[in-house]
Amino acid sequence: MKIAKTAIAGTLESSDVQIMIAPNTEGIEIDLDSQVIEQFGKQIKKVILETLHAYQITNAKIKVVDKGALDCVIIARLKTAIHRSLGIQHQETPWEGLTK
Amino acid sequence: MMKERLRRTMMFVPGNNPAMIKDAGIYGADSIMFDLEDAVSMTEKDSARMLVAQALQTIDYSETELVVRINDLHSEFGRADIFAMVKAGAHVLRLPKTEYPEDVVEVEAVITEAENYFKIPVGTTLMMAAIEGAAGVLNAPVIAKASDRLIGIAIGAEDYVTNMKTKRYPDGKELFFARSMIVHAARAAGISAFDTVYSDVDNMDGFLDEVRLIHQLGFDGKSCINPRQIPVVNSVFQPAVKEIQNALEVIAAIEEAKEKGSGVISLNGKMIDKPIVERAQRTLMLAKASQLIDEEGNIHA
Amino acid sequence: MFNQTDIRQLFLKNNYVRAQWQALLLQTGIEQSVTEMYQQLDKTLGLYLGDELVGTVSYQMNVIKYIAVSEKHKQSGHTLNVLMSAIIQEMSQQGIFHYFIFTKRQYQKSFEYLGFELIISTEKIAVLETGDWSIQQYLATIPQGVGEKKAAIVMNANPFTKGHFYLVEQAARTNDWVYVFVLEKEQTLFSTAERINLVQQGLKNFKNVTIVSGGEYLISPATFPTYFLRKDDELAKEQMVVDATLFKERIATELNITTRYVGEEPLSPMTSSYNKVLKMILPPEVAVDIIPRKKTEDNQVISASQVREAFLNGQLEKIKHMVPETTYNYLKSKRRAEQ
Repeated sequence: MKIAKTAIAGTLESSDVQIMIAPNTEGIEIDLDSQVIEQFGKQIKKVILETLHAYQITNAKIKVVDKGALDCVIIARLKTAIHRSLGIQHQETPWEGLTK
Repeated sequence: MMKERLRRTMMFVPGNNPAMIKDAGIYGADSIMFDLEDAVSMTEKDSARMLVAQALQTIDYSETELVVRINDLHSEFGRADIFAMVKAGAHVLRLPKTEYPEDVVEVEAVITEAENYFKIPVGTTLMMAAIEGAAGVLNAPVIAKASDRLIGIAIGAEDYVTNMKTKRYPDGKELFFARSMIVHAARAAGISAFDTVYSDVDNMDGFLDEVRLIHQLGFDGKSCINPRQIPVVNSVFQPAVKEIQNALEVIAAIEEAKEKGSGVISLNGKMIDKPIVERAQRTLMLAKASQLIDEEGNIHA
Repeated sequence: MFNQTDIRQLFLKNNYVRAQWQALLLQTGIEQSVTEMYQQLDKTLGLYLGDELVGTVSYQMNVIKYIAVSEKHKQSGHTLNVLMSAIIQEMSQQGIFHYFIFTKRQYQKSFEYLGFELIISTEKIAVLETGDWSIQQYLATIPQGVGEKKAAIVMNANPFTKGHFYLVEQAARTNDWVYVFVLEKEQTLFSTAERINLVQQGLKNFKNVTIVSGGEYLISPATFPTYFLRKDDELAKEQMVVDATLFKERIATELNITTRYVGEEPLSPMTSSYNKVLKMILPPEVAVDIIPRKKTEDNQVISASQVREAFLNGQLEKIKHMVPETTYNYLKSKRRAEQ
């Protein structure tokens, strides 16, 4: 899927994460801002890459401001941003065609 | 999930709040209600839906029942809510502002559609209906019978008093008729009755009074918006020692009758029929939950 | 639901609401006079605890401003997070994904903690940004010039006149390379695209000139909104300092600019103040060269506003001598097209 429109989801409150997804021409670029970047930076990026992979997104700029979010919160916020970018956020099955 | 279970406390959690969602299971509520409706702004409905769906599939809430209040089916969010929550494995979907039995039937149809789509056994997802206006109150008896999936009906006081052109008062007189209707309708249909939230979290005395009142009326449980409210509700619903003793006797009488193969069961000269059995079972369930009896039936009061 | 706080839109036209709002802002040191500008705000949100207004935030275009948290709620930082999340959500609903903040220097860290990056800071103010664009990305779009001596001119060019040409000519003669920054703001009469086009046409014979849009970082509605109101008060002066500092520390350093050329401004007190601020801030790293205005043969100052007036009155003949041929031909054809 192609990201053609910028979108944002999530908040800056504790236990949450704010994710912005924007179009890109040079693959996947992740800009991560997190207080626990040393302990969890890798895990956060892994979760993001896996989700992008499931949507077959190969070009995107992802800007992440993490406030201590669990993996499931990161996934939820990223999916929301992706759906908003694609304009499909109120479809019944926006994840149509995905394996997960 | 079981239709019959303890639902003394239903903890409201705003659906777009990760901090509250991740901690919701630690407060000891019998049910958690994730709210996709009034607690979430229009522009964040999709966010909340995804967050709750993801949390339901990932976070361990142990034995807590997982309820989701969906948006009105006729809004642009309702269908997507139902599909997402069925897929995510929500135990119960709570319908807001139910006025007619058709409202229940329509939602059930979409739930069935979603269950078929995701190849989940039809009937897995249960429902409850919230009644928040005059029409709903008057239709409560037929609403309560509108679907086999219904585990209970609830009164939502805030919208109800607005609809009735009054407001909430400490003594709750303005809710008397509605509460009575809901409880009667629930009993007649064989389902549970739930009371509304108490928003003044600092007034624990007022809260206790209200819980006692609705317990007296026969309600099965109450919605909570703050963890501090949970132990208060549990303590009010806790059975007295005498009730527990009676319940144990009833169960003993039944078991003895079974062993002896006799058809009619009696205790102390009175016949034990279904309502008495159910009450005894319920009492023991409450007692166990309040840790007043152990596995062997010893009472710890 | 635990905290019982809620975010509501503040309708500042309502006197009662506005009074509450101003009282809160006053607590945090934002004066009444500043808050008189409330009509220009696109939206204002308030955070209420029961009936008490404990926090507020507003935005105007893509600038987040008038952030205030009442004293007793300042500690946790939670209130700020809630306010910032809410205003960003509002702005993103309007399709805004690049956010600026102007804040007191002492709050710089609070915003960096929320993912904002510092652009510049002065003694009093810090300017930060986040989102889908950044000053680094902007600078990367500007081609590096050739040579050691590089100059910069910032112009509105509304439209491009012989006066502008003269300024560039002076700079191009004594420098290896000249950057011409054209302000990016849609104005009456000539759009940004039209203005840049006229600049390009007018300067096409210069081999050592790069024409660049000023973007959101040079005298833009974000960094210097009062420029276009032509005010010359304390607030405007503060913005001039920000603009000059940004130019010096982020743009001049990146592009190795050693001189900034400006036209002398006898007619506008605001521009005169601005030139003074430049002279105060830019040296010694960047020299400021104020060039006297080019005059016509009959000793008239060449003024873009006169050109605009003549255009509107259909009297292009009157200003023919003030603009290069390329501009004149364009004005004529535009005038014809609008008949």
